[in-house]
Amino acid sequence: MPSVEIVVPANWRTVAGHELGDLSCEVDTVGAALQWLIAEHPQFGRRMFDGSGRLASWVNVYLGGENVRDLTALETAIRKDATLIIVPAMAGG
Amino acid sequence: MRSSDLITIAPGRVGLGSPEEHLDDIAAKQHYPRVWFEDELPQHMVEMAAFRIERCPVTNAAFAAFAEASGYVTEAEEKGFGLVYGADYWEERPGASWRHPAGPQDSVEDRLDHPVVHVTHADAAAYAKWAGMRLPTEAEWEYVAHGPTWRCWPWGDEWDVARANSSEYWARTSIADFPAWRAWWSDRHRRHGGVPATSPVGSFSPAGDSPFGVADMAGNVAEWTATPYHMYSPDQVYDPVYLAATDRYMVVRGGGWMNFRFQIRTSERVACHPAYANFATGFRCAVSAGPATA
Repeated sequence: MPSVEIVVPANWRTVAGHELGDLSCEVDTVGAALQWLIAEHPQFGRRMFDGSGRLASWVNVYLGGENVRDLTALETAIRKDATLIIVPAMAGG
Repeated sequence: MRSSDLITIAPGRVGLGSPEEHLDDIAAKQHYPRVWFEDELPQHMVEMAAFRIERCPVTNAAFAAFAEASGYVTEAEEKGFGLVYGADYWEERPGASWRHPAGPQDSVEDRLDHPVVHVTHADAAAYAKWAGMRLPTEAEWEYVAHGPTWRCWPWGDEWDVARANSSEYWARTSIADFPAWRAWWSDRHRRHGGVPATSPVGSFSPAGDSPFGVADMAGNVAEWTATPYHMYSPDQVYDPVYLAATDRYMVVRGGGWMNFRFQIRTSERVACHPAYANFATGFRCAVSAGPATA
C-alpha cells in the first residue's frame, strides 16, 4: 500500500483542540485516506463530508496538485506514495 | 454605468499586508495559530493608480435589477442549493440563493437595501460587467480599507464593536475563540435560523467608514476581488494549504456578519474557490481611472 500524508488547514488544529501529530496512513484510494482521517479525528467529518457521505462542496482535496473532483473524487486511486492537501473552499481568516 | 455612489480614490503609495508585530499580537489574542494569518506577510509597498469604487456593497435591489434586465441566473440558482450555516456546520440548503438566502421560506423582499449574498465570483463579475464596472483588485480593496498607511480596521487601530456588522456586534460580547463564537451562533440560529444578519448597506457610516469615506469595508459581507489568490513573497514560508490555493482560488476581503474582530481586519486575506458562494459573501464594484494594480 502506498503511504499517504494528509495535510489539513492550520485552523483544524484549533478545532481538534490538540496537536494532530503525524497524519499518514497506508491506503490506496482518496476515500480511504479521508475515512482514515475522520476515524482518527471524528470532529473533521462534517468538514469533509455532507449528510449523504459525499465530499462536501465546502472543501476541496488535492492529490499531486489536482483537485480530486477532476479525477474520480473519492474513488481516485493512489498508486504510489503521495500527499493529500485539504483546502476549504473558503480558507483563511 | 450603473452606480449612484462611486468614490474617487487618489493615486498613492500604500503598504499592503500586515506588520509582523500585528500578527504576534493577534496570535496571542485569539484561538487560531499565527500561521493561519501569515499569508498577510510580508508587508510591502505598492504604487496605486487612481480608481473609483462603490461606497457600499452591491445590494439585493441592484442585483435584482440586473437579474431582471439580463435574465441572469446565478450558479446557486442553477445548482438548486446554497450554503447556509446550520445548527452545527455548513449545509447545502435546497432552494437557498440570493433571492432566498436562508431557503425558500426566506426572501430578500424586505431586505432590498442589504448586500446581495450567495454569489460566486462569476456571478459577481457578470453583474459588474453588466453595470459597466469590474471587481476591485485586492490591492485596491485594501488601499480603500485602510488608506495609504496600514491600520487594523477602517476607522483605526482600536476595536469598536459599534462600528461594524460582525458577530461581536450581534453578540454584544467579546468573541475570541470557537466556544464563544459557537455560543453566539447557537443562540442566533435558534432565533433566526439561517437568515443572514446582514444590515442595510452603509448602516455603520460614518463611524465605521474607511479614510476615503467608503462604507462596510469591515463586516456585513465578505467581498470578492478580481485578484487570484497568491503569496506576497517567494522568500516567505507559508502554510501548504495556502500554497495549494495559490492561483486556483480568488481573494475575498473584509469579512462578514458571521466573523469576529480579527476576521474583519483591513489586511485580512481569505482564499476562496471561485465557484463557492454562501450566505455571508457579496461584492462591490470599481472602475479604472487608469491602469489597475493587480
